[in-house]
Amino acid sequence: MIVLILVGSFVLLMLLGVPIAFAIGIAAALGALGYAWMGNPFVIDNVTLVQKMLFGINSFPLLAVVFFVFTGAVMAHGGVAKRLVAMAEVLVGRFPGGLAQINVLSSMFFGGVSGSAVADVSSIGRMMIGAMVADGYSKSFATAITLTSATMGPIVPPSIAMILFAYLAGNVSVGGLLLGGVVPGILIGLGQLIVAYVHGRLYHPTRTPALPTAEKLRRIGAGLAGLFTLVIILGGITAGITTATEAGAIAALYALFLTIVVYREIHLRDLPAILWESCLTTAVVLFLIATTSVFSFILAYEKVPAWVAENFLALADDRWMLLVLLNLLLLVTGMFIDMTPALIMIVPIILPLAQKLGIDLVHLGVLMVVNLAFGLITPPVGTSLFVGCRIAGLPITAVVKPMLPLLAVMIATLFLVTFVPELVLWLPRQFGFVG
Amino acid sequence: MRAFNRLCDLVGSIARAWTLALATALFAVVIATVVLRGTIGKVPSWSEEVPRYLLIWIGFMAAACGVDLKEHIALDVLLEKAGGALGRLLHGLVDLAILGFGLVMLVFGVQFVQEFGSDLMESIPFRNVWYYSALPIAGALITLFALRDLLNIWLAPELRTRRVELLTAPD
Repeated sequence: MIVLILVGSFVLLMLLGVPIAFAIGIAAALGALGYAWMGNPFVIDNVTLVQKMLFGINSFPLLAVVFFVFTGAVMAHGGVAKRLVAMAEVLVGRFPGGLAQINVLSSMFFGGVSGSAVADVSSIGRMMIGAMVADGYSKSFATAITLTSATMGPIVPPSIAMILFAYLAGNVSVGGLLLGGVVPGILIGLGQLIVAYVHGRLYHPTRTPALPTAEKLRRIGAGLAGLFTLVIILGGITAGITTATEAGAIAALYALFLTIVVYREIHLRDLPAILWESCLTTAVVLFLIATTSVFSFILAYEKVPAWVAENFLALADDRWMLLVLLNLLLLVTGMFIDMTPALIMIVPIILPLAQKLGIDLVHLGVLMVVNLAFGLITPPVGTSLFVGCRIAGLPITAVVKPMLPLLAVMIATLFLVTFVPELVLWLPRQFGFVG
Repeated sequence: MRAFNRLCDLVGSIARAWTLALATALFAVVIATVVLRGTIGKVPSWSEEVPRYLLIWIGFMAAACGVDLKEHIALDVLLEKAGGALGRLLHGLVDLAILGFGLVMLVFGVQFVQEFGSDLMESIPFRNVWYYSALPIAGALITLFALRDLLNIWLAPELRTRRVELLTAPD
């Protein structure tokens, strides 16, 4: 009965358009009321309800989210994107489909400093879609490749989604998760570079003009300065010098130095607006965690995770079948719910089952993020899809067809990541994060 | 309605300034901790606790402002499709739901602070009321901002806050 109230009211409120964090919170409050009505008010009383919200975000590791978001915001506002695009031009601009290749590589690099697909679409998309159209590419292909390549943002480190998974799963290393996303991210990028190459050979053989060596070196230097953020974060964590939070703080300091002092793209007067934007973005995540803490408590009291595990086990009694079903569940969920709320809702339910079947948590985390990354660019609810189409001035239907070969590459990567866990686990193992 | 909207703007500006001050303090504390650990090898006992409290304040205050700025993630397909009176009705229902939850946070939050706020913090000689208060205050702000939008829908649609696309969404 309580589960019915909880899930029913949540779904109804969400469909009405109530923000997901509030829909979850209200459903949990109704659940608490339901207990009182059924004569069992001590399961979760008024005070416990708000206490769980407060304690749900009272966590030091969660601080990493603030710093990663702030670093991404500084980089996005500070002209890093155009320098990464310039560097990508040196590296792949001379291949057929040069601008499409630059787009993919820039997204891979930018994902390595921002950790956000939406930031990637906003920053790279604003530059590359127009440039590609001016060079003769169709606007729909330019938008499609911008969107699909942006999905690398939450997969390659630094990834806000991985930090969130580490927090939700509890007993899993942030460093392991961040490193676990490297190979899948590179595989997706390589696949998309191949699609861009084939597209170039077939429809767009022109290449970008050759650059003098000095200019090439200047561009690579400026781009690498931006990518050094990745070295700070991964280096600090993997060497055991810093926690993820501290690595994020140092990266934020470096991003400020780079964009204010070196690039001179951000002025001190811009900082309050950037900091405020980071606070809002972080708060959206934190508030979701706060309300979900109450929701999850009731679900756990009603033994829903155990019930899901039992029934899932009846369908999938080995880890591979579970992973296939999990992929399907996440792909469908991702189409309707954004990555952050989906992770917050699904991880606590799926975790006991994954542990029962011996699935490595680093593998599970990376797999979940890769799956949910599809949802960022697929209708009906795809945050990046909406932003990209708005920038390009295209209806969503216009990008579906050119996106298909790029999605096929992502699906092939998802297949590999699902059935060859070593692709995820190899790198973390080299640094001692996985046994 | 204009005077009420101006009051809400003022409250929003104060909440924003307070949150920015806390966020700056958070950065200063964490960076100082990293520097102290790297140089003298010692950090203050409160170096993990204070940032957590600051994070809670930042999270709840900015989440409340996020209601006014319409930054919370929502499945708004239906809301965007519905126009006219139906659209206003749906937006009104959404605001009522948010307002209701804001009241839950405010009323139950005050009860929580009254019952447990006098307990001492873990490593600093302050009472928990200083950090527990973030929740009822955020509840009050959420209630105010949801009420503002609810009234604006019917009385002054031209004054409704529009959502701004942030460059750094969490996904």
